Amino acid sequence: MAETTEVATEYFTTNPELIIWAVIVIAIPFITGVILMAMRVFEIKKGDDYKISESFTGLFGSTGLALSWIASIILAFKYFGEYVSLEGHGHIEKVVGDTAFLPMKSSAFKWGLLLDPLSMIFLVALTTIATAIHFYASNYMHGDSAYTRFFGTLNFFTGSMLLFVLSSNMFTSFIAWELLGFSSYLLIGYFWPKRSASHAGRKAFMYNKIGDVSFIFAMGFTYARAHTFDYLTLQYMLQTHELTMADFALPGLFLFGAAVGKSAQVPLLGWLPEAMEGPTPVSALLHSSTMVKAGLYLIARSFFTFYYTEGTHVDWTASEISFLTNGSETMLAFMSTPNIIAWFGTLTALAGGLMALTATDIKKVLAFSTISQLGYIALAIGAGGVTAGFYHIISHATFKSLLFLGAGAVIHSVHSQEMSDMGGLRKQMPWTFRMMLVGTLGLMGVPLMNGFWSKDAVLLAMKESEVVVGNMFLYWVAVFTAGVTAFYSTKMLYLTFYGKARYDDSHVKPGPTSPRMKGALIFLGSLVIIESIWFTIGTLKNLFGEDHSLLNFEYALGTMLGVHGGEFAFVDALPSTTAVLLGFGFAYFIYAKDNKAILNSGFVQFFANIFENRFYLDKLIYYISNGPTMVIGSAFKTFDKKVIDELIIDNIVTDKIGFGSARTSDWMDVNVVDGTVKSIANSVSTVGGRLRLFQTGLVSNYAKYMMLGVVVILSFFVLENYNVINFLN
Amino acid sequence: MIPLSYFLGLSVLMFSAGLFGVLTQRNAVRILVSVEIMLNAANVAMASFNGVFGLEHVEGWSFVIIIIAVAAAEAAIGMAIFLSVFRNHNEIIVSDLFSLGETEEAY
Amino acid sequence: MEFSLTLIPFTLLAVFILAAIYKSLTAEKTMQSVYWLIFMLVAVGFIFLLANSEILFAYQLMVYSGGIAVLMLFAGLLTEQDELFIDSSIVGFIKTSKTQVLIFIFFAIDVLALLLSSINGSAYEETVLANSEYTYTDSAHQIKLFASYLWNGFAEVIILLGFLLLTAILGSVKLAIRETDLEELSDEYLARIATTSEDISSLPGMEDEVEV
Repeated sequence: MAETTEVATEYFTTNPELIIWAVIVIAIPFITGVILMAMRVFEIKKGDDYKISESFTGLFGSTGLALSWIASIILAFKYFGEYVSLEGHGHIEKVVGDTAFLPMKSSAFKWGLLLDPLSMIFLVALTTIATAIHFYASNYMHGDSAYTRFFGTLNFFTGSMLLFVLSSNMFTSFIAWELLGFSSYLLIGYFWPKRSASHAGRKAFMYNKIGDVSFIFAMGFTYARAHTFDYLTLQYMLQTHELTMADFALPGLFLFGAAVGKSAQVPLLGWLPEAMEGPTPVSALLHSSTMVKAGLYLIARSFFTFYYTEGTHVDWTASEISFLTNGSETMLAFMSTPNIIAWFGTLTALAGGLMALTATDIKKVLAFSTISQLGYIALAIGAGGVTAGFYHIISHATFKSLLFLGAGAVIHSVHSQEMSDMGGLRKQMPWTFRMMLVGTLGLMGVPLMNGFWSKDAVLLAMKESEVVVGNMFLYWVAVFTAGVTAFYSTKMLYLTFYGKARYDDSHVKPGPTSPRMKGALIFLGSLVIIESIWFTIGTLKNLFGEDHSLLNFEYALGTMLGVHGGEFAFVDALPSTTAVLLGFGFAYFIYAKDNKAILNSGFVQFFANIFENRFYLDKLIYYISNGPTMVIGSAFKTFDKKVIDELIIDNIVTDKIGFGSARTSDWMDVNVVDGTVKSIANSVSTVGGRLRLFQTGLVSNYAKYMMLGVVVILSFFVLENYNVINFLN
Repeated sequence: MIPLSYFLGLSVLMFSAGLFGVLTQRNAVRILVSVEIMLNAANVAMASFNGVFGLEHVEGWSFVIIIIAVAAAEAAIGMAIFLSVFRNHNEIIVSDLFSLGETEEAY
Repeated sequence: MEFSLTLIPFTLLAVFILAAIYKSLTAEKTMQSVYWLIFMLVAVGFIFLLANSEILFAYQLMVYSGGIAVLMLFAGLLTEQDELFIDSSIVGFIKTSKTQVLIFIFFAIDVLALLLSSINGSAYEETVLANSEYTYTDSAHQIKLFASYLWNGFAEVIILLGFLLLTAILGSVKLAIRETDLEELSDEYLARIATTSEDISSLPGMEDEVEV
């Protein structure tokens, strides 16, 4: 294990110039987004037919992002040039700039930006991909009735993600997190008059809300323990032993809960496939570098709450529910936060891959594949390989955005999302095909592609993990998932581009993609290739020559983050490569050689049914949320029927007393029993009726109740002041 | 020489009475009248506190001046709002202006 | 506590103010209510005199019981709805507004108790009352001081207040202009009245499907 960088007493530096650049990077998309939305308001005011020219708004939105991209590259160069040197054990300084959120007593609530290698690398990747997607969208959304609104929300969305990436404390992160949730709701429900789209937006919003609540809990626990939200300060307090890892057990767990919502881990993955209702550029942006990566980036950012490395000693958080484990070491390890993350991640990877097998919609295939790859990243981080996880974040962002844009181009020309309406498009759309091929190879993890290197880093992290219970089992599950990935990727590529053309010739004339879309595709495709070459050269140099070449992305990242990483040998890649080849072979055998009969067997159909229903997770969530409500309601009903009516009225009243005197019984029944029940019912209805008056719309009523509250509070203070009661002191 | 607490007692009584008026009155103009009473209560408290601090202090006065100006603005706007409400609804009884809630439960 | 002659006018004024408030809240007609308000405002002006604040007295008389009261009178005149909704007998009055009466009593007691406890506290006596110069003043000097204070320390506030008043005036003019006056005679207005009821169904975006 590599030694960590030395802990300086000054654990961060300040540099106003860099912070101003960072503010520029964030502010440009926000400002253009808000201006575009204002333009949309202007359009609506002008009436239905009025529309600002598309070329202007499209250019405006894309240029905003492009400027932000340029600024981010300048920022990254300045930062890496000034503060990062990788000689020896590496010397990293982190730049923080923050200011009070509002003038208030607590200094924890701050607007803060943090520049460190993690945020810088992700920032550049994000702005690069987002710019390509914006240029693509300016052509793809051509002719849409709310073109201006689209670019406004897209810019706003990207801006909030940039803020999230650069934020230096949980509080700012949370603001950006909520902005992300809100703008993704707008984007997913972009075609809101379509019912399914508005449902999808709502679903995404509600599922994300669960994560948000978890984030709030995490913030609360952190504040209670440390009285600060700064990531760096928290880390510093750990290093100086002001806090212990046990303090971070609950915050860490809840931070992962936040990531479960945002990054679509099991069981909250239902919203992500539905989010395909949004326009394709939105899906490309949402699933590659923003939104779903936000949760995982949060875990990577707060990695120190799960693992803490000091010298050769590795510590990890055991969950505070350890009293449940009866002191058993295995159970304690099983309950530890990293272990939970790893298990959930593996489950997600497997479930996503399996669900992608049966999807027929090309965008749904990609969506499930996103879920699967997010699971990979989570399992890597859980297994302690934050470098591997981040490695996969970057390579996945590139090839997945490329795949989505390619799928968008196909959908644009075939006018259908079903793969059964495609086929044979290789001839008509040669460039789209080539680029999709590059992306698919990356996704499959074919040797020497970027996906190969990052996926094997992930698998290696899991294999070598000492923390995760049953890591070999999870490792083989992940290897199996790699095979599944190869299978559905091949299937998707084959059904779309090879074979007979199945689209309706009379209406659909697939043609080559338009130049601007093609440009974005080629740009992202070449990014994938450049990454592949870079990663390959870096790793090979590492293997056959220089020890620890800095070209090796994972090793360099490990040096910068102060953790180990990048010890790769080809032997480790053997199982996953075999799995990929097997998956590819199966898919080729079934689809290209036309052996689809296998798929009709009962055994396959049984599983296909489960996968198509998404493991009944949505149903499960429905029952979980619906069940208790109904159980409580029916319990009351049963109580009323059985206990009050039967037991009291029928048994006690008639049997015991009623035998004595029928008349008394009758009187009892009417006056006492019925009277009681009725009076309870009446009082409930009276209270209800009174309570309804609170919502009359009478402003004076509202004022009255408000003043009642004020009077109660004032009385409290008076009693305090005259020492009648004593709460405050 | 009047004790400060007398002034404060008067101010509190005025303020409570104004608050009472705001809560009970149903005519918008009368509510405005009650609000003016409350503002005056605050003015009395300000002026009397200022007196305690002696010759070299006039801070309380400046607050009173500001309150008077704001009250003037408020009265002007209030009157204009009442006029347009009255014109649109033919009604200035706030309890009959139900646009915030359901209509059938008329208090 | 030593007895002072100024207590007599103070008591009289206080009683008059409270009575005026009572009359203004229970007067039969809105206009009467505004008249009583004006009386109360004048009395508050005299209270300012007793509190050694001559300039406030002047302001009160000029701005409050002059300008604002006239505005209120106009509001009362123009809306011309005179019904009084609360009971004029004391018992019925309490019956119909129990909560409000409770709020009145408790609020008054609470705030008074808080204020008294704070001005009788030792910290207050040490800091404020020790430096108190609560005597008859050289009013000319104090007003000069006030003017310089206002224009040195509060110049921005006064300019802001000017803008606020200007905005208020513009806003109320805008509110008070009868838009219908301008439109009432045109054909468009009549046509719009006729079609308003049908508009709701044809709002944009109510179609079930859109082109993707």
